[in-house]
Amino acid sequence: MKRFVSLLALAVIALTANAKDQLHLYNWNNYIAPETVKRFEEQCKCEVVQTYYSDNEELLAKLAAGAKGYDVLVPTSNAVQALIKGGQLKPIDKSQLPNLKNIDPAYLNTPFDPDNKYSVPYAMSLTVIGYNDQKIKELGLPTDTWAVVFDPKYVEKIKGRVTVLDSSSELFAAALKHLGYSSTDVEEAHWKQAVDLIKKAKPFWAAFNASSYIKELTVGNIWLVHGYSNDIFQANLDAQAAGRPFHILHGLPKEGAVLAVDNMVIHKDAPRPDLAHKFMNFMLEGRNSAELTNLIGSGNPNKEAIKYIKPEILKNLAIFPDKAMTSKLEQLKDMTPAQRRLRNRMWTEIKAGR
Amino acid sequence: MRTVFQSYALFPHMTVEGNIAFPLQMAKTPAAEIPGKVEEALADVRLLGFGKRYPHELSGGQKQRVAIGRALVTHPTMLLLDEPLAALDAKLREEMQIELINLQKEVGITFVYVTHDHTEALALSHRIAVMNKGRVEQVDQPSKLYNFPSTRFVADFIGTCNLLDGVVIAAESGTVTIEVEGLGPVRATTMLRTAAGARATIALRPEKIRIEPTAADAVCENRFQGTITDFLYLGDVTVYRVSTPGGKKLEALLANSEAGRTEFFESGNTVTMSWPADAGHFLDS
Amino acid sequence: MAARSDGRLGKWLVIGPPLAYLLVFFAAPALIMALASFRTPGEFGGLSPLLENGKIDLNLDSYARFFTDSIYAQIFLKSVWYALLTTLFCLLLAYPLATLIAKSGKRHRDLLLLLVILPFWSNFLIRVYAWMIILGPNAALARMVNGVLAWVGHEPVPLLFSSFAVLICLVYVHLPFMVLPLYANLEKHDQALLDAAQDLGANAWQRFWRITFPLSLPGVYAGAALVFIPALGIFAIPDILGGPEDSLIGNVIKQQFLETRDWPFGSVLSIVLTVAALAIAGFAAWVARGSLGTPSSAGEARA
Repeated sequence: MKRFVSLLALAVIALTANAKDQLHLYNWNNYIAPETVKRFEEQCKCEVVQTYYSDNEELLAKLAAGAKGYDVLVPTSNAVQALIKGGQLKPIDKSQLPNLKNIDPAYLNTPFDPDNKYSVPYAMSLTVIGYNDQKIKELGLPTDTWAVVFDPKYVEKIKGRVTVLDSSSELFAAALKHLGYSSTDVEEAHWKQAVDLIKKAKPFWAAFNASSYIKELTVGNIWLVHGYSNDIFQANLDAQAAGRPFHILHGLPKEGAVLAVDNMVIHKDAPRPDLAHKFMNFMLEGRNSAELTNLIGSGNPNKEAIKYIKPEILKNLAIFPDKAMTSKLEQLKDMTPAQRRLRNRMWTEIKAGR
Repeated sequence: MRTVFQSYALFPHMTVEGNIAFPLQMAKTPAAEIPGKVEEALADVRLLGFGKRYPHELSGGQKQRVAIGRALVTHPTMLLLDEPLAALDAKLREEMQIELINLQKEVGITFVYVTHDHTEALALSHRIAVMNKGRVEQVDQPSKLYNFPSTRFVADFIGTCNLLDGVVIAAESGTVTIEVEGLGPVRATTMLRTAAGARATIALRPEKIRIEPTAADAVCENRFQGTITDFLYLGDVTVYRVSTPGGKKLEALLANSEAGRTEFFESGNTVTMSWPADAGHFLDS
Repeated sequence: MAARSDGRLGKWLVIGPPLAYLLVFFAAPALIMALASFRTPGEFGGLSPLLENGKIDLNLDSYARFFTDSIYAQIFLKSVWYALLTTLFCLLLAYPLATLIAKSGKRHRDLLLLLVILPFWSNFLIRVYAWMIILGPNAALARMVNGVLAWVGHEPVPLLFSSFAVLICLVYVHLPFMVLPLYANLEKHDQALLDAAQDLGANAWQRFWRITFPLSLPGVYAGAALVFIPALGIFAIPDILGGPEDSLIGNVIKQQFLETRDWPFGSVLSIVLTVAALAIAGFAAWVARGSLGTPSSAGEARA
């Protein structure tokens, strides 16, 4: 019994020690520069403990199942919407975020979180076309249209060399765009057209892939992908580092594309909301925000960050789209359970290969 | 030829019928004929009604019979039984021996029976081949083998035997005298030709030796004094170890049923051993 | 009196922990899953409240969805088919391997067993990703295969992102689960039975097919269950190595809990999967008993 008590005491001490000056950041993998973390730790005299997720669904599932102990999360806007609906977030205290003024107003007060009660923008990416410049030039294929992914007359020329994201929302969004609809269209008839479009193109695709397409692009196995702009940026860095004779470039579809804005939010059960606010304000500083863009090629909604960003990244239209492109970008919205069921039914049908 | 293995080697996943049908199937017997033949074999080994059982549901003796039935069902000309009774207890073994003899008579084919147990060999066989280091030493009927072994090995291997080694000192028309060390001159009859000076052995079965407390009637040609050193009382018989003054040790076996025997010897008793000349079997060296 | 209560306490001390383990880690989650299958998906994910406006919200909607839409049954059948093929190929590969191990001397045997379980020392996903490299279009294997195909005038085929890749990796990952029980069985076989069979006129093939194989069936069934059941529910391999057609039931279940956030339907699919796995295992056990006559025949082989 005595031993049990002392064990318990030890556990309590361990717990309190754990709760002391630690910020728990639940983030995408490789989504903050190590030097930024270090600088924040020095500044706040605390430790940043990071855990990672690989997609919003993983984050949502984990929190829905009752996971606790996280301070700051970095979900995409539509997941923010779901988290707000699910009552998982703590309102932010803007008085503690003076750097919020650095954010481009175009990214504030969105329908996902009116008046930014819960979230502040962190970084962004576009879902675009990534391609092997050598191969695609040789074949004379266009790279400024979703047709190259969906239209058999193009995609048949790169049969087995194309991957699309293994995400129903992203793929439907691209297909809906190609059909001339909004990527957030919820009209069932339009979805059915998207299903037909996807099913016709599917035989030419190598795989639905969400994880390994970066590597496959880098080594030259895959020549064209439907993927995230920062992944495509990464693939090119890797290809250049490996001395490949080709580049992996971004193709911006003229029909429009999905914009994913990732936002910092505070979990409702955050052990340290004070540190969470400090961290958010810190990340809203131009220099800190720029470090992420320079590392992974993510888009940046922070006006103050621009001057720290490498010029070659700044001029990449898939990372910093111009006015014309920006007007064609759409953010995905969270769906109702019924819509999700219908979408999943269609997705299952697509995947089942009927 | 078929073999019956020591462990029976019945196929545990097949019924008795399945086991017995196996060699028929291997021999591509028409399927329609198999049940009849299996039934016949079951009858031969008196296992009718056991066909649907699995080996683990049978007694040791029944397993044995299945093994034999399986071996006989294809009517081989010869059956090799490799120490089939070694795993059984003494009582059951005796029963099985009688059963095997009867079975052999019924099926009328040659059984080759491998055993290390000489009494089993004597009990079961018409002819016995004694093998030593892969070489056949003697092939004979059991009684011939026992009474007239042709080599020292056979004499020693089949039953117990006193082997009296010595040198021939006299040989005349069927009777030889051998000077046995530690014992003295021993007379034996033989049909073999031999001459004085040759080395020879007399094989003398323990039960051929008479033991008496005093020097008895002189009917027996061979008579020696000795002292009982050990004895084993076995119920029906008693085995005595007798040491001669010259240091030769002999074994003698006395049936306890012998009429009028009231007296048993003890260790340390001085006795007279005697046997007739034709009791010992002369072996040429 | 004291001794008796001691005995009871001892019994509970022995039974207690495994029982508690089963209750906590098997029965309770199964019950939670069963209950979830009758509930309604929450707006945000998870489940909507069980008690709404004073009414308990339990319904058969998710079951109705499963049983009225044949697409799920189709995916199920496809998954069963993949799992069956995996089991079959594992058996074909494992049998000679297990025989070899069982027949080799003590020293080699330990080494060979070690080699069989060696892959477990590295992470499952790493082993799966390794196949991406092995099967990649620029790797030696694909070049060789496509070289041969070109020679016979066939257009090149991709090995990666295909059913072939999924199947080969399924077999690779599950092979040890077939080898080990088979080895454990074959190692106990009595050589005298084969000698007897040979004496009774059986050739090498007949000795295998009539004696060794039927006696190894308990090992085959154990291995088949160990391979088939996990292969039926797997999702990582088709996700990583599969082509556009290679979505299996495991992937569909995963989607329900992640992308679609439809826990009730995911629970229904999981329950159907569990029931199917149990039914197939039960069927295999039943067939096993039928074909062997007795459950103890493996032990008997030794006698």
